[in-house]
Amino acid sequence: MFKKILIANRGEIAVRIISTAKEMGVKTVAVYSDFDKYSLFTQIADEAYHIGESPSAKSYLKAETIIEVAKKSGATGIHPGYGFLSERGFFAKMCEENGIKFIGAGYKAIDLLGSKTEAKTLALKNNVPVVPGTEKPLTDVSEIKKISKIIGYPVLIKASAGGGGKGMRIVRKEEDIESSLRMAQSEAKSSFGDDSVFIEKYIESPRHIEFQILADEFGNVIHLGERECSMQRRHQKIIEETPSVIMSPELRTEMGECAKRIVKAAGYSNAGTVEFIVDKNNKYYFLEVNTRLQVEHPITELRTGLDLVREQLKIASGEKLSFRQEDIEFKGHSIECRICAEDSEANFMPSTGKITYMKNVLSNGMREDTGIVQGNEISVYYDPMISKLLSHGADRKTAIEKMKRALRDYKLVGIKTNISFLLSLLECKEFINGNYHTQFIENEFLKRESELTKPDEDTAAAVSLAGMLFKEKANGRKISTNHSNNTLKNNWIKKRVENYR
Amino acid sequence: MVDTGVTSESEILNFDKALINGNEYNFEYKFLADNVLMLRLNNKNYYFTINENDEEGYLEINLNSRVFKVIPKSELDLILEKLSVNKGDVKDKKEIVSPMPGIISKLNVSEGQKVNKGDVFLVLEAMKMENEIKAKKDCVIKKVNVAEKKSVEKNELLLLLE
Repeated sequence: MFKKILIANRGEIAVRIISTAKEMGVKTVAVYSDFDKYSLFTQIADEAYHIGESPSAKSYLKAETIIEVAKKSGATGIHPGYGFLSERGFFAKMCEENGIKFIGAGYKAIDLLGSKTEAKTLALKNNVPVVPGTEKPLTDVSEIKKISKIIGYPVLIKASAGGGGKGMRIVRKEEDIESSLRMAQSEAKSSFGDDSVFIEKYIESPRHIEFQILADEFGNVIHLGERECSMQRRHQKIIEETPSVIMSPELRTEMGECAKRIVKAAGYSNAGTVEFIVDKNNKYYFLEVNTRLQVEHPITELRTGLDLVREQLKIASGEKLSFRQEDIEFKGHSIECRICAEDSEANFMPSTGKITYMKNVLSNGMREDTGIVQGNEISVYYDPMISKLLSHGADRKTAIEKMKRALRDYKLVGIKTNISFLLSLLECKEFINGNYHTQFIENEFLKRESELTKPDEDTAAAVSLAGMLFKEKANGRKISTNHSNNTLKNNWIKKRVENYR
Repeated sequence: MVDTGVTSESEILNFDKALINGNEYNFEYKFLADNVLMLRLNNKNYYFTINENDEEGYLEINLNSRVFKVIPKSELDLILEKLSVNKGDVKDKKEIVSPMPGIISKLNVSEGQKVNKGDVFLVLEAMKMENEIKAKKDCVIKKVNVAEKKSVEKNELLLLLE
């Protein structure tokens, strides 16, 4: 086992990794930017080194500086966390060249799976279904029609140089191919100067389901079940759960075996995630492999009882997996909610500022992974996730109720958060029924008129009095000294509290 | 998420008694922090956090992660309100300012352009996220103060509307 490791990350994931390392008797080295000088993760690590300015390009992405710190501090392994350098093959390679163990996949597997086309080819070779489509760019209408017929409608016309939705058209019937193609091509031509297109089967309202994989360096691979991550907005996951409501034991085994085949074929080791999209008929298609620890890994930990960071450290230090596929037991249901500093009512605009008060009630088995404490600032430099709130219950309903309870009890002052948005998602009938998909939030949920529920009489009275007491206090502060408690009685004798909008 | 149409009249009768909407309540309270209020009203517990929105002049009172927007008014405010003539729509903003520091990653409008409600003026990139700044009503662009790729500070003037 390692004696000392460096964590090339910040925030909650650095806290998460440091915690496990300390529990295993492994010393920890944190690296920090100007902004993070006194952040929680730098406090709990055994050592901390300054590596640059706040923007990540000038600190957390400085591969050479980080390697230097590892050498200087005597760390023999680097855990990259997620984001930053975690999926950069060149960094894994640099570690190896400097005699430092990269706690993650090997650089060859990272590069291979990092290329979408190579990963897709690998999947096909190993009998893992991928979204049917063309591999070569096309321009000829009759050929496009012929291929679309084979794939089956609806199809997606995609500019080969495309991106950001430009040069993309969904075509539902053959008659529309020519006009859609012309539009996609002209958009592609003007945006990218290239009018060739790909054709792909269009998967309507898909689910995003991913499998957690553990692979040691001796070719042993197991899966730890799925995570359903379809509650997304603009490709950002918001709520994740395991198991998925659509999963049967047979489908889990089948998809899990697919995931294992891909990582095995890639010569992969350490923890990884194989992502699939699943259509309405539970047909699944391979999407990509994330060659790192995922943000949402704790729901798998809660359901399997394993510590994935511990397994990562064991694998990286050359140990064999200590269990087989049949030893893995899945218990209960687990949910993650990502609490973010953003204003859900103002188009999810990130919210920055100082957190002046932070309190949550983590009783009854709730788990929270966070790198933030009261008094911290939320800055523009890093992503807006404040905290991951995690629940685990005997069944799905219990897990949901626990999460709702914890979200309601969560108190945060100083910045705007998405907590009430998370609650309204957990309360909507589609989530309760498990009937949701990756476009649900944007195409359905956010288009609804928000329901206007009036508070009951006592609650309205309490809110009214709260507003008054608060104003009174603010007022009292301004006038200060020569006012005693009478302020309450005299200044604001009769007030009106009004809810508007 | 926001409740509508509720108007309450409250009067504090004594240190532990209040008259709210015609009902008398006993209460106890303690500010646990500047913006955190524990209130016990007729023995029912309420744990509030409160944010003040200075710009718009209301309080955001959060109870169990449900947000109530509240405008407190004193008796004096009410009298003044009755005396003043209807001021019309005062919230008609002519200046679009940056809500946070960031970089203009996309600029969709030019001077003199007519813009419809809901159209995206520009995209502001901050905290690794793209944020669309949209038109709250139909308008015409009088002046564009920024360019693509330019970085802006919080409250920096982005656009001027006619």
